Amino acid sequence: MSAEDDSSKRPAQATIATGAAVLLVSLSSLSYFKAMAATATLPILSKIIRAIEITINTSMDFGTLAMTNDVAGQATIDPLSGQLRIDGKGGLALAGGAPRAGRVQVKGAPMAVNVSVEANNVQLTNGSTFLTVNNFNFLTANGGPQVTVTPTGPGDGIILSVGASIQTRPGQLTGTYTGSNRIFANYQ
Amino acid sequence: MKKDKKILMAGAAMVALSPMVAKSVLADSEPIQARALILQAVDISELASLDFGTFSVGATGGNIVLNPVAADVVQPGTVNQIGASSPNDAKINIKAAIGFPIVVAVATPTITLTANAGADTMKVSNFNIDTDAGGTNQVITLAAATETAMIGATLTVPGSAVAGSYTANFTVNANYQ
Repeated sequence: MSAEDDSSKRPAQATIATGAAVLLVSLSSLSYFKAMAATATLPILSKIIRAIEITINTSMDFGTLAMTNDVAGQATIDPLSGQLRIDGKGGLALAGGAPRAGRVQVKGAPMAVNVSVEANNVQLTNGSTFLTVNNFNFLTANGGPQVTVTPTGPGDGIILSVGASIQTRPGQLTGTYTGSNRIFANYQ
Repeated sequence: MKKDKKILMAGAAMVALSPMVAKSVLADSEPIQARALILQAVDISELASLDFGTFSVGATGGNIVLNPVAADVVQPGTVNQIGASSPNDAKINIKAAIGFPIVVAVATPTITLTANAGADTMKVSNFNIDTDAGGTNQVITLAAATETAMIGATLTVPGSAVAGSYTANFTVNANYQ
């Protein structure tokens, strides 16, 4: 083989060498790609929580209250006993009706639920004048206007009693006074 | 690799969104109603005092009876109304809730009238509220926001009564039964 032949072969060798290099790179890429194609199973978690549902089972009723003296008076419904307690100032007396605490049913998941009243003071009106109801309490006489409960009863529900105090003023006129307070229930 | 990232990101987004959606709907509220029937304080006021008028008395005395309904009478005796004197029942005005029974009561069944600086006395008794036999306690149910009631009584005049202007006060209470 002549020198020229040798020289004419070099490019071919170089090409082969280059081709080998390309092949190596290609193989390397294949190898790398193969390594990254490993599969993994990832968990997808989803926790469904029952929607909170609040239902008013019983409205609050202070019964019939007679103003026995023309002075300010207060009567309180105990949420625990459902009994009406009148202050000892002599301004009010129970004259009939059926006083009762309010009853609220909260249904939801067995998780902590915050139950609260919208306003600490609400006005009841007879259409021409008003009186005030305040001192809202859940469950007990000192339960306060906000309570945290966990619905764990039948049907994932819990019953809460609600009491409050009614305030009458001197000169309070006869009438049926009505009003409302909104009760909220939220998951904590 | 990019494809895997997209899947993972989508998964993460779902996990993040899930609690947000739940929190926005997992709350509820309802209004609770409150009710009270209030009966205003009973108010009574005097419209007329109990007035037995002017009379003369003889040796045996007698009684003057003021009836809430029937005519006033002077019972047999030696008591004689004089001239234009006009005895009249007491009259009270009552304000209270309509339709609820009210007990109206004379606090003391017998009242002593005095005259001449307390030196002479006469007795008033047998109070009757609203009717001639109503007695000292009467249950009245108003049909209107304001009503009146008459109160009568009997003045016992002894034959020994001394001339004078005899006066006293008596108390009437009213409240829901």
